[in-house]
Amino acid sequence: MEISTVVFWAILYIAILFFTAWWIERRSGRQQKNLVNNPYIYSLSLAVYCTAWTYFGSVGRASNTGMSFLAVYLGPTLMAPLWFFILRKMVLISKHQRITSIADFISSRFGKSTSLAAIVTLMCVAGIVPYISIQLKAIAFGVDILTDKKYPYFKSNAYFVWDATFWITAAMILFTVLFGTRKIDPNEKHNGLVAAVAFESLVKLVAFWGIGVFVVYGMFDGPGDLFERAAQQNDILQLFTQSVVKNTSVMSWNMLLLLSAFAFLLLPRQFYISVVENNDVQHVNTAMWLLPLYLLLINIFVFPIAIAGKMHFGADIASDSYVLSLPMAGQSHVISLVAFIGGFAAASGMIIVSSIALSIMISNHLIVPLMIQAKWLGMKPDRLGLLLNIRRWSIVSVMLMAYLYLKGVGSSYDLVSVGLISFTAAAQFAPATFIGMYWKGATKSGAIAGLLAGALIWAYCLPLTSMAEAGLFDASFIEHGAFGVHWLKPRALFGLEGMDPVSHAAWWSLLFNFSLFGAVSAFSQPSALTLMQADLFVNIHKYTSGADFDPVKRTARIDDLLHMVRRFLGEKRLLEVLNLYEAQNNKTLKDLKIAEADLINYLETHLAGAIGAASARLMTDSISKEETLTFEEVMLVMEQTQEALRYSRELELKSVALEQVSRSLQDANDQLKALDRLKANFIANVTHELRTPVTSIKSLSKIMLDYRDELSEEKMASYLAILVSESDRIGRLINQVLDIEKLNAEDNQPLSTEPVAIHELIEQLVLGMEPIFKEKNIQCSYQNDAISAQILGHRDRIMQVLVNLVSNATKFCNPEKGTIHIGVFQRDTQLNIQVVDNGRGIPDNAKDMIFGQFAQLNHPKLGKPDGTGLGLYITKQIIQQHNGKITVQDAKGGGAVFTVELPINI
Amino acid sequence: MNSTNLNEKKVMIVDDEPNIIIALEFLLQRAGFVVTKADSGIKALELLETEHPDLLILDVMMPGLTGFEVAARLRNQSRFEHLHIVFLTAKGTERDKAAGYATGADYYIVKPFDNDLLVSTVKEILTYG
Amino acid sequence: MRDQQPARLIILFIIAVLLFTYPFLSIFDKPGLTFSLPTLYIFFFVVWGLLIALIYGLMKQKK
Repeated sequence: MEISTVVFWAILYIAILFFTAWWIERRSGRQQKNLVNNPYIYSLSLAVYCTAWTYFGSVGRASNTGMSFLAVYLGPTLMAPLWFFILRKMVLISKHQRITSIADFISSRFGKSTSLAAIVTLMCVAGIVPYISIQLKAIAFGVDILTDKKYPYFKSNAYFVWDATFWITAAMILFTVLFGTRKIDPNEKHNGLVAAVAFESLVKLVAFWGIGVFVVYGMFDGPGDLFERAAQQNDILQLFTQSVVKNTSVMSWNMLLLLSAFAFLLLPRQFYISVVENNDVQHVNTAMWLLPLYLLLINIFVFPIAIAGKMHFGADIASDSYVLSLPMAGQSHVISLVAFIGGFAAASGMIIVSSIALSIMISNHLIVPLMIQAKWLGMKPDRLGLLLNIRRWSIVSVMLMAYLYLKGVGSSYDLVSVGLISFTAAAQFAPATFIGMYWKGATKSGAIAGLLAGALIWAYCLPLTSMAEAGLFDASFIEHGAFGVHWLKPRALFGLEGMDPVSHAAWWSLLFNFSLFGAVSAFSQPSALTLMQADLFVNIHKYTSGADFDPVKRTARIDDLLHMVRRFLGEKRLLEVLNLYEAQNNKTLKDLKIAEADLINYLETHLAGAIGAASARLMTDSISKEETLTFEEVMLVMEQTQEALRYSRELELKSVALEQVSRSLQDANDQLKALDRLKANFIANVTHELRTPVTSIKSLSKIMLDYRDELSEEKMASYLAILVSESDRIGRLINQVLDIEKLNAEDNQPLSTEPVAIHELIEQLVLGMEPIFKEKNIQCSYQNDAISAQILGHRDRIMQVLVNLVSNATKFCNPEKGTIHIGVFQRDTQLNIQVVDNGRGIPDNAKDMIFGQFAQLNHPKLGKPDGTGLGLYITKQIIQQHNGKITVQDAKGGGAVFTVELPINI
Repeated sequence: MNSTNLNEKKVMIVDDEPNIIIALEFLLQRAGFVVTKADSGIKALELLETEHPDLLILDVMMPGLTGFEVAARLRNQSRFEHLHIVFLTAKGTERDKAAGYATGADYYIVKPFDNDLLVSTVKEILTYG
Repeated sequence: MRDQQPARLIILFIIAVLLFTYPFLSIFDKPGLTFSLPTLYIFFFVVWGLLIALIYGLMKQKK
């Protein structure tokens, strides 16, 4: 075939494309019925998913690895029932927020983050530009085959005017700039462009069927004939399966289903067509079955053509070219040309939409934010033209990048691998996009962490490794791992082997992406703005049904606001937008001086349509005063959701818990203070009690020293007796203070206990005190009704208690005819020990006091008893240590009864 | 006034510690004072109805009425206007001393005391008022 | 009546995933012909077509 024929038909096709787009644009310009606003055009335009990869690459892949190529089309089909939830929600959110790209979508969800938008944009450029370049290559490749390579129009060493791909690039740029940047706000719909894309989808489907029918019915006698003949050849029979490469195929198949299901919604061009250019959310309902049907139809002849090519050519020619080579071999110029035009349509549709989507991201998320920050946008009144020019130059640079990439790198690998690399890149947006739409807890830090981790692994395992394999730089790291670390081998990361490179990279990148996204989100706090955007994304139905609220209290001077919006939207568009606002809200803006939050938000959303949410936020923030959002206000905003109710309930519980904690701290503090006072009191008392005997000792000994000549022997002896008893008193006091200290120290630890037989202790005690009883002429009786009873306790301590009680009784009983009775009996599980004396008894008002420190009762005649005032205090402490209690009552006929109750050891 | 006059002066000792009373009694009698004793504040007030001491040596920490309370009651009555009061107590902080002087005491001695100092203090107070 | 459409779509999704992945797929993933066509090829396109028909049916039902 002559080159002139090919060029003629190619130009004719492009002309038809231009005409279609122009005609549709003119109709919508004249307010005629919008032909694009219908679900069938929408579904057809979604088929921009099928690129030269589908057209040429699938056949090539099928002739090598059987039916595994179908995963890429079954993935979106399997996902289609869920579009009813996911895609519709994406569309609703994007319409509400006037979202312009996948980067804008993710950035909006996480508090209109500029950095997130930039990360997503850079990933898209890195993932998609090579993919665009390979489409350019496919077109040039087609020209070569049609002209029998008489003149190689695709030359890797020729540039620009001497190279066919350059002219193709130029034509694509021209079309895209003309029809893709007519309006600044992508939400205003580029109907001409969408119509052209839908038209291209129709062309590639019809063309492929043309080839299919020609090959199957023209070159063979129908599919039965084709496959039966093929089944004779064993190597071709093996291709009748999916799992030609046995050991990796199952995992690859599943991974490919997942990747394509994600990529169908997340690839920049897919997001652009399915979400941004969507005219009506109801169109999704039709696309749910019509798009899978399209995919089925365009794939139905792939496998037969692959098998036919394999049989016809064997291993002679590159299998990617069967679609063109077979009609050529079948001597049909018409079919060959149809095949070429179909391939051209498949490639160009992808190139056009991808470069528009990328250029929107580059200008909105990289260039405009930089210009805003550097204040380059200046104060010139009209920035609309500037923005459009930025968009246009972005398109030019994307295409030139793709062209230069093709010339520098691209010739070395095939359609399918490059496509899969970009699929894997797009799949990295899945956690932030999908989970962000349903989980409010997802935070910006989580999204950034997940995306960066995914991007890093993706870049290392796929594009970098592929480039190294193509010989662009040293490939030794593939064999040995980066820096010689063997578990960093890009084809066997962390020692994981036995997967194909794409599944392997996808597995690790998505694993880290998902995990970090979830984990970091769970451990970080969202900002107020992120929280509000999260609520909007997750509960979009609430917002679209009119229950809107002002998320942020902002005010701005209306002149500033309108001036700024005018610069980006232009006067005409601004007036339209304002009229719409007045109509919707029943307000007039004429005399308004200060714009309230709702007007600012409204205009910001329209501005976002032009320059992206993050940039629009930056711009409106620069002219408006924002009241710092108090926590109460955030709560108020969130109150409309169940979530908020749960939050506030939790907070309430928390504040109650906090109150309790502070109260118990207060109590503990009070107790400590009281203890401190007690301690100070105790020391003051001890000092006093020590000073008293010391005073007597000092004074009397000085008297004896000074007046030893005057003093009678008798006096001397009585003074010395006083010195001895006062010294004893000091000694006792010191011992008891030490006892108390010991008891206090032991308070916090369990007592070392043993079974103690009270009976034995009392017998021992009575025996020991016999001389004292005799001396004081005291009758002591002892009766025990529970001889065998034991208690669990500290033997010496219990003995100390008994000694204290009995010796107190000897002190306080009737001085002339003293009697003491010790009685032991059991009551329930308690052992009662009573010590009864026949003294004066204890007045009622002193019954509690006597167990305190330094509490002594003076005898009206005999004065102060010779004690320290600590004995009963210590006794009570010991009893309490043993979980018992001690009480005192009046005895019958005067005297006191001390009763000790201790739990019996069973 | 000269030293002979001192012999007629009466001193009352109020303390709940019998051994301290023994020591004080010896010292004051030897210095030539007439000594009466009380072992509690209440008893001291009772005795003051009949006895008319010139000086009171008052302990502070006593069961029943404290020394401070006794002093306060006495200072309310004009008939005890000329009665000198000396606190003799184990409570030795500056705050205790201030409280003691506030009740109208002439002097405040902290236990344990120096025999000679105590006697000379009593003498001085009774001599110079 | 309750709106069963969302539940039906989700169930359809789950069944479709089970049909198009292993181990179920391995039943048909063998070289060989059925009605003169590769077995797996028949399986894919027949089930695929059924799936589309079911989605179509569910979406039309709503209206």
